[in-house]
Amino acid sequence: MTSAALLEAVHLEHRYGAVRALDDVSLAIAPGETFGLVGESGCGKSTLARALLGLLEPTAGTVRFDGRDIAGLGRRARRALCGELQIVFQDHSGSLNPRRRVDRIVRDPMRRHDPNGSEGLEARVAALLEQVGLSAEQGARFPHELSAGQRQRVGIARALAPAPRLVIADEPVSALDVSVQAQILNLLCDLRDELGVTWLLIAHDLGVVRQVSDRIGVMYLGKLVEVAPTPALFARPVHPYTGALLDAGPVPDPRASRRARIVLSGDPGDAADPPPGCRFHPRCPRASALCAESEPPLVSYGAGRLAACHHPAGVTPEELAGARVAPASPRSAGDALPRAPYSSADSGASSSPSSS
Amino acid sequence: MAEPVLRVEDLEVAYATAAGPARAVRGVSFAVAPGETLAIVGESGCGKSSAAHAVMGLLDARRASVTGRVQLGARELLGASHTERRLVRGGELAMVFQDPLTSLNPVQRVGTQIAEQLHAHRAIGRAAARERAVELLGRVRIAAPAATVDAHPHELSGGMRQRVMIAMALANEPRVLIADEPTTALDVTIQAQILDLLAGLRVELGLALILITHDLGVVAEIADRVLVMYAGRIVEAGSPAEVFLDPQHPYTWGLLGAIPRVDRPVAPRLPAIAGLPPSPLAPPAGCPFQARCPHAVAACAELPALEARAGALGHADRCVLSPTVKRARREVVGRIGLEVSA
Repeated sequence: MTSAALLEAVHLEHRYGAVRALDDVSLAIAPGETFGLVGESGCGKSTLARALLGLLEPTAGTVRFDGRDIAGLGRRARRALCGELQIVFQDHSGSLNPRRRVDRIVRDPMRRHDPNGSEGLEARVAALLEQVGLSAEQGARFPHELSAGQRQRVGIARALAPAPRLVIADEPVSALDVSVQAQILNLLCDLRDELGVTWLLIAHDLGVVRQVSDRIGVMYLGKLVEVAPTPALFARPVHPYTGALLDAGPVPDPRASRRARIVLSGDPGDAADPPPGCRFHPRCPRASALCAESEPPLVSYGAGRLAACHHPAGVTPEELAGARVAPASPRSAGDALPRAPYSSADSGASSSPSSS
Repeated sequence: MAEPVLRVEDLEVAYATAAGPARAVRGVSFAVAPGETLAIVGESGCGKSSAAHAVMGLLDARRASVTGRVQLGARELLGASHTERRLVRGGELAMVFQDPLTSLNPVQRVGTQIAEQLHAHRAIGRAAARERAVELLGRVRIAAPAATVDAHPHELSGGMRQRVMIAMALANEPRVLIADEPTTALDVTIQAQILDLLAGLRVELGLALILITHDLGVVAEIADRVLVMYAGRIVEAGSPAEVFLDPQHPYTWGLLGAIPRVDRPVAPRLPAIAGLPPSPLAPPAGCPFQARCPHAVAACAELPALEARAGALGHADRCVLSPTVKRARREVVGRIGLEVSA
């Protein structure tokens, strides 16, 4: 799995002065999969995206694309990488050149990275625009003449223009209204199925990430705290922060909101001065003395489920017995496996498939 | 239900633009009672914020024409003098804005900013104002109010800043609090805290709360009544249970269906609403949603009244389709929670 990864981060760390935006994060994205990354503002997810793209040089650690370390690339190789690794930005207005027509915005990266040069370029631009749901007539317009959703389609088309192997979409729908957001999410699903491109989708909205992702990673204060296949993450979250995120998002159902919610107290804390031990422990309903002392390692519970918690929920006794520290675990973490689940009642309730 | 404290009738807002008047709000009426939470939901440009700003008296009369009636208690606010409106604004009628960072003055301590609210509305000494500021910060559940009162906004987290904004709004014991997207700029775990705070304050202080939001989840969480707005008009009104579990207007179906929900199985495709909202420069006569509505009929060219159905007390909608037709059509839209017994 690790060797076959298309994009890989190994013990990645990035500091902005005293702020540790990324702290020993390891991650591998397989070719063809859609990986979702969630977390609240300041958790480091956008810094991770920038480091993965090579837009910033991490203070420590390695990023490998298709097995190559992207840090040591020369200019020519670096430019070639741009064709394979693209990004869709959140701000659909600010990231498009206001003085260029849409077809030109899409045509330039296509020509630059295409070995066939300008042969049949116009036809390919038109085909790509059509694929993202834009007409030829809209292609002749300027970005300001389009609606927000249409502009985001242009941003997606531009990212796809050089036929990349991996596209990072950083909050692609968070600036859009819900009805438009649904259109763009459907488009992302279609493109995922049609093109075989690998996607890294970054978002703060769990519903959005779930809609398109095969696997999801959850970040908290610069750390990756849980990774799991999408259905498992929602059915049986292991880390209490994942549980709280699932719980905190209000759902449009007046009956559901009457349930007892776990409302986390306090703020996410300061990345310049993170709490010792587990970073989540000051807000955690399951925290014990151990959590304040030792940082939990990222533990693999099988079936692609990883979590960094001393008191995991949603794992069966068998899964717990088979748990082992993941190779991607932070170097700073201890190597102690988690203790027994917080309470037997808790693990009993959550280990049964919660499809009720 | 208690007597409404704020009544808005037939509110119309039009902005003067180079291309003619942009009609942002077209004939909106509602009322809120003490202790009640009224939510106004809709997408960008539907007129929800324009309506709130018009009620607050924040629109520049040279650029926006506001007509209709806005009654606070027995007083008519539209057409009242500047002085009178200024006394009401921040007094009986207060507002919390979406972005606490740009709404707070970055170079003033938060205590000073709260005190400013007090000084504007009453004769109060500096020491007393500071004392009251500390008390207000405690009321919005800030852990160390005596220390926070001397902090500058940049020293506080996003959630704390929004609490300060709420404390400022509460300074003069308002009867009506308008919160315009109060949790949109906040992270989801912080959002839950602020919603809990607002719900608690409404009960404690007997506030009439008007919540402007695009987030239907937030509405389900704390509203007593919901107005769904589209292109300047209210298209559906009712309790959250009525509007979310038995939605009547096709726009409401579309809105509910388009949300990627974490409490439901993943749908392979989200039912998106095709097309774009009409331009406020040339809003359609008749149903504002007809151009995008897959169920539109010839009768939609005339605007139906916002009337309650037979048997549904406060649940009203502007759609000409008969309840049986709606029920059948809605099933096709699917995914919308309709386990409500007939």
